[in-house]
Amino acid sequence: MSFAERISQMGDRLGTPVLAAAIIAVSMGVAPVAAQPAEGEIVIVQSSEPPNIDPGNFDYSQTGPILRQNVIETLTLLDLSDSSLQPRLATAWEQVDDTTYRYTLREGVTFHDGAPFNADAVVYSVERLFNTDLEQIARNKYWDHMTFTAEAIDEFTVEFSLSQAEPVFDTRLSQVPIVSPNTPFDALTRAPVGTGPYTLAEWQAGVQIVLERNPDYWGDQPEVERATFVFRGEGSVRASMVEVGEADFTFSVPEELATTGMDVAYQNFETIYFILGAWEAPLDDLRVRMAVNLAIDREALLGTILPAETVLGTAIIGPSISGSNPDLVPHPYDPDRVTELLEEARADGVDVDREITVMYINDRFPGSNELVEAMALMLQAAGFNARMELVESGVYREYRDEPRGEDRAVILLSRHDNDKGDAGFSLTRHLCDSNRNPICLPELDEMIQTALATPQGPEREAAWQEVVRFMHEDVQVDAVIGHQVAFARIGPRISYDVSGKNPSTFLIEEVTFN
Amino acid sequence: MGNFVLARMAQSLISLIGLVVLVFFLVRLTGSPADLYLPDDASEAARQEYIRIHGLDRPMIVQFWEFFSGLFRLDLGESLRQARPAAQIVLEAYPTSLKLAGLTMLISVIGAVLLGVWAAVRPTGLLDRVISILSLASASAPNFWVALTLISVFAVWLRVVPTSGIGGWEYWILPITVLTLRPLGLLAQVVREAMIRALTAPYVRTAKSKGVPFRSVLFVHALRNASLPILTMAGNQAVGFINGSVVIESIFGFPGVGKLMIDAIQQRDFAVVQAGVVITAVVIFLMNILIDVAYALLDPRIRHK
Repeated sequence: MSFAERISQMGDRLGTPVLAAAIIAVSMGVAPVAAQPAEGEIVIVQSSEPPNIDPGNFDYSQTGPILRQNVIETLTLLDLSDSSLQPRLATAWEQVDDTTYRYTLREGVTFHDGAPFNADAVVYSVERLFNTDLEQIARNKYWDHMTFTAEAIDEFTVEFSLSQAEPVFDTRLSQVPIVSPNTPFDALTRAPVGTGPYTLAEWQAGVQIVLERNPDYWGDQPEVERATFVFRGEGSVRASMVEVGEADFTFSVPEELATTGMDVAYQNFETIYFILGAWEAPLDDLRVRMAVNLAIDREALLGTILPAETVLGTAIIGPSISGSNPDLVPHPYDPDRVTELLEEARADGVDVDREITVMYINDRFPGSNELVEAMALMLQAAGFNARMELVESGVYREYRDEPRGEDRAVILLSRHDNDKGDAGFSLTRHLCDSNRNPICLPELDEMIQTALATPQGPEREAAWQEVVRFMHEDVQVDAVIGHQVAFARIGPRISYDVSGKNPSTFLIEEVTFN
Repeated sequence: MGNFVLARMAQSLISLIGLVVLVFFLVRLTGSPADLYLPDDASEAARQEYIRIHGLDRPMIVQFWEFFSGLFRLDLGESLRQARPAAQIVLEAYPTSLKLAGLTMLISVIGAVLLGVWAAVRPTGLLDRVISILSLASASAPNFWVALTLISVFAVWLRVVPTSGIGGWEYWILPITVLTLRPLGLLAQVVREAMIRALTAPYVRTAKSKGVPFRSVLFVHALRNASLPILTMAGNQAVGFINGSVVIESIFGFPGVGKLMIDAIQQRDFAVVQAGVVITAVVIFLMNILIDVAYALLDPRIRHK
């Protein structure tokens, strides 16, 4: 028998049976199964690893769930379900005058490195935040327009002096990380030290970040002893990890996979809307903007392009944010009225046939590209000369922000996060001196200024509600689609309530084992 | 051999300098990192502050000189995002990628030689056809699709391997299986072709007529002569793996250099991109020398030239 014959005979004998036997052997549990979290430990899988975990950057969506309130605490805790503030490292606070606030600190608290928590530590944290040689997202995001200083009155009393009146100072201050005085002043740290219920145990770059329970925590000891954060870019892999028990929690699974009993839809405090380029004809005409709003069949988007749980909106702030107006209803789909409005405008010499470009950045959020496609088609169907264009973020910003690019009529797909409890964080972009304002209306400017200056309380809420109504009915530079939902997957070992929470926060202390 | 290596080094140094200059300027053409790092609604002042903190407001030539002179001190700059030396970040990621690449190539070459030889023994036979179809399919199946499918079947449905992550040997099974498919398929084709050609050569006939056992003819005479095209293809594939496998590293959460580079490019983390390119270039250069040396060892005609 030739070698060739022997080989092919061997192949016939072994080929398929060997493969089948291997698969069966492996499936019978000969091979090891993935590691499951140990008792007392939870594993959280995020979509990406934070590039750095400096406390001043805990506003990053990747850094927040790890650090915020787990490792690094704040003076107060913002409760997003009703926009109220709860005591955390501060036990009481009061406004002394327009630009002075006084906070009483919790006693008997120590940082993870043993340093005492006191007024000096708060002063240090504020000074570090305002060190402009150090990048701190928490400064860029909340203190772009003003500064403040902190002064220790006694060991447990701090007074804050503001560079200008800021009625929502308390809310903004709830976003200031309190760090150990041993934190480097001039450099970002990879080993953040705070007062929280968890300490940073390990950061294995590219692999995992591990937190361990702080036995000396000032509050109640949480149930979870150890929390490991791992990172997977692929949504289906995150979903699979929770399904097979390798992980206990993920903030985001793709909608099409969110079909198991473990998946929970939650408001992620992001609102989807289109910015109507009111700085150019024909969108500088209110009737044309109204026509755009009425040309969108919002209901048809739900359960098709956007998840059915999406809440149609009337403003870029969500329903739980102070200032949202419950009396308003989303713009209906009314093609006949669109035709009327466009004819009216045309009769007045408005160039309603000018090309309008719906601009977007690729894959801004799940379904965003399809949403733009639908928008362009709906506008075309309603009689607009609309087209869509995919642009890079730099080009997008050239149109969105002043000074604006070449004169084209554009509609920009946008998404706004409004997780800070007050409409002021969102609507200041419509002030005349904002470089993001599509249109400067003195009347609107005055209304926003008034609302901004009104102290927190029902009066401020009413002032914002009026701004929201005016924008929805008489300005219409935002074609609001809806308040987004995302899907979390929670494994059977734990319980955690995701509702009313911002996905950049994951309170491990609220996790309980089943 | 020493002179040969030295000459190759001199050549490579020139290309390396060209590459470094090119990368420095190209990566800066992608735009400002401030646009990506800062919140979407950050003010112009915040943008300027960020640019100043990171020295991006200095004249381009000053920035270039700093980078270029740093190269001679083996200082590849600091990551914008991670606030630590870029070279350290890249070197940390390298072992994982090299291990993936090494294991993948080892398995691919061994598997491809066995399959290719097997198929070449009786060209157009049933076995040959089956192997050809399988190797074509595995060479053309998209990595990400195969990866997700294998995860669904073996990690979720059968639960015999972990879905992803890094740890013991079991974590390497799926990534290496996926990575092996393409080079295995391509190489098996090349081995088959080369072996068919070698087996019809006069020296094989001579060897057979002298009564040399078929096994020796196959694995000593023919395979040695068929090894040059195999080495060329294997070398090509290996060089392709040196800068990591973006898809596999991303899906399986492997902390390799491919994923690192993609993230760095997307985040405009200039120093990390530069460090990654420089270090990868050096590794590829070393690989090419190894391949050349292997050529010389395998083929006396090259050695004695």
